[in-house]
Amino acid sequence: MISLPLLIVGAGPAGLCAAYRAAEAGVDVLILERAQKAGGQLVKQTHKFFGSEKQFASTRGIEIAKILTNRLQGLPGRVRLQTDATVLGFYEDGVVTAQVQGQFMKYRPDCCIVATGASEKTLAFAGNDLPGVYGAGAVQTLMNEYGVRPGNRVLMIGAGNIGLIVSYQLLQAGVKLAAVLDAADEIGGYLVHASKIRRAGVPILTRHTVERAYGNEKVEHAIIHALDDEWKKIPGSEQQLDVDVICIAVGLSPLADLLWQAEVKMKYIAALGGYVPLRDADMMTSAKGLYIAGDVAGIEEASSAMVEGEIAGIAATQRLGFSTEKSELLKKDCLQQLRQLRAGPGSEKIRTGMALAGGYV
Amino acid sequence: MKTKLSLLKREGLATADDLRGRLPGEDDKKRGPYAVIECFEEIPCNPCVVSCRFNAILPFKDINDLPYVDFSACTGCAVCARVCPGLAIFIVDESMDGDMGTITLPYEYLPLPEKGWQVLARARDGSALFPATVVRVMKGGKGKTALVSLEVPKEYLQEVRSFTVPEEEDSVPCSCAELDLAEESPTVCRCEGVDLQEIRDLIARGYKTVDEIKHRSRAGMGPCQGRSCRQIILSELARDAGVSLEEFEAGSFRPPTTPVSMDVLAKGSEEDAENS
Repeated sequence: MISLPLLIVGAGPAGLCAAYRAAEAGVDVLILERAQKAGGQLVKQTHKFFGSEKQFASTRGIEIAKILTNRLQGLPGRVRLQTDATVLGFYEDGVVTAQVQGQFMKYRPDCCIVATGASEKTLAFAGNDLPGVYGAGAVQTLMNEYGVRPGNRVLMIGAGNIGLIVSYQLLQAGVKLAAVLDAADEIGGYLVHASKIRRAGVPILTRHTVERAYGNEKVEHAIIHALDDEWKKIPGSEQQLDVDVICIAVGLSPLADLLWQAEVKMKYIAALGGYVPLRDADMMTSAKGLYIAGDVAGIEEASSAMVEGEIAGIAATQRLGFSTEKSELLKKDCLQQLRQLRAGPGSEKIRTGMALAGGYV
Repeated sequence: MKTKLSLLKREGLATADDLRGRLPGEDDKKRGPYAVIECFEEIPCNPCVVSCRFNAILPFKDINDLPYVDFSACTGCAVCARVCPGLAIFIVDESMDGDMGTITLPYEYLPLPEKGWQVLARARDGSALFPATVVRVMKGGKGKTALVSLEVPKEYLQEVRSFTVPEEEDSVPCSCAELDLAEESPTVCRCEGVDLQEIRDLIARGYKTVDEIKHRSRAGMGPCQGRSCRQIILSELARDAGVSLEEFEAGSFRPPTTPVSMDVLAKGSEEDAENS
């Protein structure tokens, strides 16, 4: 059993920012990351980020991952970033188990920040088990991490930011897009992303869904149809598209398995993507010393994940008795940043969801 | 349908309505190049206004504000176009004599064309307009987006918003001469191979929680531990019960979060080994 002051689960934007703020104030930190490298989903993001300078606006996601990782060196507190480390369980006595590079480990942290991110939602349609049906995350991993094209002609399901961004990345990789569909009556993602793929000639079909995929042992065609105001199929609106990839980008769910195990208070909030832990303004859950940050706290942009990570990192630091004069000011600035990031009309859903989840004001 | 949504919200396509107030008057058009910012949605983003050295983008009160150009101050220097994460800024120059002007477009595809190349100019909806000549290329790098300038007739300067480098069309070969379009139930749990019909049959037989369905069908017991199927099963259960998802139990979550080999567990942690 290893006792330690602060354990962070996940080295995505939220976890890395939490580690930075904690180590900056002198706390030794252990980050456990399931993947082989740090950065979370940032390492697949080849597009420039929105936001302001404080959230690295205009910088590509993959570059942000490097910045956030590199700045963890030479801080007053020591940051140990352990990759290939999957946290397996949270137990009632505060013990955390993990598989670290093939070895079973037990930890007892004084404070813990869960920044596990999200998992992709899927869609049930006939033929959805054929090779060629991918989640958008898998397509990004293939293309942007491994340099492998997933196919030649893609049907994208979902016009949220992920569907739009991955569509654009597919076009950049020289892959054709047959169409982008969304069951909603308007585009869910940023309109500037939509305009980019629209001017590349890709149709965006709102109020449409995929009916089935078929082909000889792999996807070769898709049948799509239009939806009426009650989300029912409009008879006769079927179209066949010749595609070899169907990419599903219908949203994310907070990856909260560990928090369920820790038996913190959870609530289903549709606006935040599913079940999320209730939290206070410090991002602390109903369990003392157990914090959350990033998509696990509610599906949002990476910019907010970074700021939430900073807040959780500072708050844990204060709880551990390491706070400096700067801590409270920094935290206030972070809260102000969050407020700005969520102030626009497009963030109304997030504001409603966050109000239900507690904490953020 | 209630109110008709704009083409912009349905398709990402800006129309003359959206562009109102975004274009300069005749005097400013003659003065020199200027920026057209096609950013119509209040999102938290400010690199354009921060990057402008001429204060030609009206100051923001809030990071979600929309950018508006002060055309009397804009020099068309393109600094904003090179930092805009949304690739939504275009530089138009119609100050020269004659019928032709230039449109400068952010470009993130390969290959980056070179000066003198013939490309196919396209409209906001991607439709092909006419062949155009590349007159200037500013390479990308160090956080700056590459910019490509095309010479186009002045009357098309507000139409051209994209281009492609001509390439050969390729077709996707299809091997499914005879299609089997028999009724097929969608897969819900890929790990354990459980389909939607099986889930619905169990619900009809009285299995009314995620855990009960999991015990009967094994849905959710594979390597991903229910990350894909749980949400679909919950939706089916909620629909059957006639309640919203908010009111439904998510089911139990137990360690381990992912399958662990017996070998790893048997070895235990180092310290346990020392104590035994």
